[in-house]
Amino acid sequence: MELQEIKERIYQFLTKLKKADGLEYDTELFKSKYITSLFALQIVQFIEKEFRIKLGRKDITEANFHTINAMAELVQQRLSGGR
Amino acid sequence: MADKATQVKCVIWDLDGTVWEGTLSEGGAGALRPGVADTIRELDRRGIIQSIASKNDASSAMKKLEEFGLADYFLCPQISWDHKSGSVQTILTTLNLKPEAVAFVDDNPFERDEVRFAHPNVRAYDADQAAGLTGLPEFSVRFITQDSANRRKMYQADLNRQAAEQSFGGSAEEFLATLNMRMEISRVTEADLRRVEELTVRTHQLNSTGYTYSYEELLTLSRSPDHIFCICGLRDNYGDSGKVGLLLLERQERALRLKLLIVSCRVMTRGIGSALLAYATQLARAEGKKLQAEFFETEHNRIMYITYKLAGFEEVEENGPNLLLEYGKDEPIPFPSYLAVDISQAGD
Repeated sequence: MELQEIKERIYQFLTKLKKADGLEYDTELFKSKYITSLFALQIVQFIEKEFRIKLGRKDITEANFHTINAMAELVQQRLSGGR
Repeated sequence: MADKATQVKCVIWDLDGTVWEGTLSEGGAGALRPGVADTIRELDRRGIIQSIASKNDASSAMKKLEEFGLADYFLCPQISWDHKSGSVQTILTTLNLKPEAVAFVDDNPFERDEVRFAHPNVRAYDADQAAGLTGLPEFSVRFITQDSANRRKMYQADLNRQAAEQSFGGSAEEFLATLNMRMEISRVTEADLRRVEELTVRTHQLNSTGYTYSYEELLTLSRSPDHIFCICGLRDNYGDSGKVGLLLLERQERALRLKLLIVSCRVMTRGIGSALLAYATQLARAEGKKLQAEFFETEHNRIMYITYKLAGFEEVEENGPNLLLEYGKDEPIPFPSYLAVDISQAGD
């Protein structure tokens, strides 16, 4: 799957959780208080379901979730079978 | 006391030949089967919720239940000509239940097998056992709290809220803001202890450690100067959800140590866990200490792990399923904007 498409799908989901208000692929989601931990949880569940991947304990880090770009890279790595 | 793994939280009833004699669609239902109405009322009183999976015409079956004065006891009744395994699945999803917390009562062995085949962890009972259910250990509760007696109404309010959310046009956050949620955090007192015990026994998914304490231990903790033990209630435009969350912190020399964070699964998507965690970071800041959290991984509580990690906690110790997490940020977490929080300091 193209990285761009992954980003687009995650973006769409985030706007269902919260009004888009200037959301970009590189918006710092935690620093801008864009997501609370309630929504963080729903994002993890969405990503696993939408892309049919299983994330392990080690994947659940702020570094992997701080922007849409970071999430999309994590997803693409998993989809291509990489670690 | 029933083993916590085997406690039934929801009973799903067949109607024809189980709740009443005969078959409604073939010329009519007879009288209620002996003992069934009493069983339904007693399960309700104990806080065990109930639903229906029946192959029938929905409006005539509901009319019949109204004649018997039983219609209000059932949440999201599934009355249609579909497979019962599908009806059971709908109930599990709608009420957010795990199959092992559910019992299915049906006089027809084919239907019991059909449900069991699709949901091996649902326990199936013959209609002959219906009148005796309340005597079985898996349907026993040690005590009845105000929350258990009101449970059906709270679930009904939850269903109304879900329906409103589905027809709401905006984002999830905007919807939460329309609810006027008020969370009240107070110190655990002796009057809360039965509900505290109930929450520790009933909650598996939103439970950070799964530690259970006896009544006496809970009483000691609630009076201990070395602990901060909080319970939280929640209400909104749809009604009072009762006491839905617990937070237990131990005062250590350099840190507040979070021993227990529990949120009732009924309020899972309303941010209560996040808000309690925010409160813990604020308390730690006020005492000038670090906030650490014990976490014991089970097969059900991964959600709690994600909540911690994405709220800014990092592992500092790891020993198999036992983790110690530490909040690493300078600033405490603020309460979410969609939630008004009242903190009562009584007992401190």
